[in-house]
Amino acid sequence: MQLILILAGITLIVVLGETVLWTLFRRQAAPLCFEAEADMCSPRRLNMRALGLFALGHGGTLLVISWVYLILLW
Amino acid sequence: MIPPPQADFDFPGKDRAERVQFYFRHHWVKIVWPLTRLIFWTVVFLLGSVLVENMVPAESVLLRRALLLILLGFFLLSNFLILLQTYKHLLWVTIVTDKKIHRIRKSLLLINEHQSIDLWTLEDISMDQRGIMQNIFGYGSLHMIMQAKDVGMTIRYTPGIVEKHRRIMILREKARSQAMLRGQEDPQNIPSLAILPA
Repeated sequence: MQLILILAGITLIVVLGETVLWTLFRRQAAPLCFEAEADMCSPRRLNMRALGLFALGHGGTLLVISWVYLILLW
Repeated sequence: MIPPPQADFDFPGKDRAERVQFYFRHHWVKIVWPLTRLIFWTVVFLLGSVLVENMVPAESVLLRRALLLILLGFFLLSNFLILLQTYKHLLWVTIVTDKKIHRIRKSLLLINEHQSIDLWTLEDISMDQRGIMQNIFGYGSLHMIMQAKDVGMTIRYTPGIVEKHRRIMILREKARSQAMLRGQEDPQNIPSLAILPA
């Protein structure tokens, strides 16, 4: 039970952290994207879709590492 | 010979008459130090976990779990910090148009800065590359001093600095000759025309 609560807490921290950072970044980056639609800029500019996938992958990896780490060592 | 300008685009602070020539961000080397810090903390995390597993007695369950959580906390924190650094790196951009140099610096919450200087008012444009790293990877600092005022702009970690320096010098000369032409048509257009070279 304790482990489940800890895992839920870690998941919340990671998801919230990634979401807040991504939202703030997206808000700040939109005018720098140099395109009317900020979703898909050319690769040499800010490729928001690729960056979004990177953030998603980063969060996912952190979650998997945290879960495996805690389940194995708890 | 100036390479062809990049496709024109809009950005905050751009005048309608300006044409974008090129833009750049800091050199990727700037990310290396935060990345090294991340690697260091990951190693500490792994070694610490092994130590906790082997050194803390099995009876001290609470201590063991607390230490594991602290280590995991540091690992997560270092990962969020590198993400923050990466975002910040992407938000600092310098845009050179045919008339101005715009330096836009933003962070996620604290900094929102836009500095722009007219190319034709630049008195001195210099560059320096110090150290092995800067010379190997071709980055350095770009210093621009304005006429009349003793102020300027320094852009550190400029990638491909030799080429950027050369292009800005050419663009400045072009901007100056355009300013001179405008001044001949209407001298009121250029308040400090007197200090421009003939």
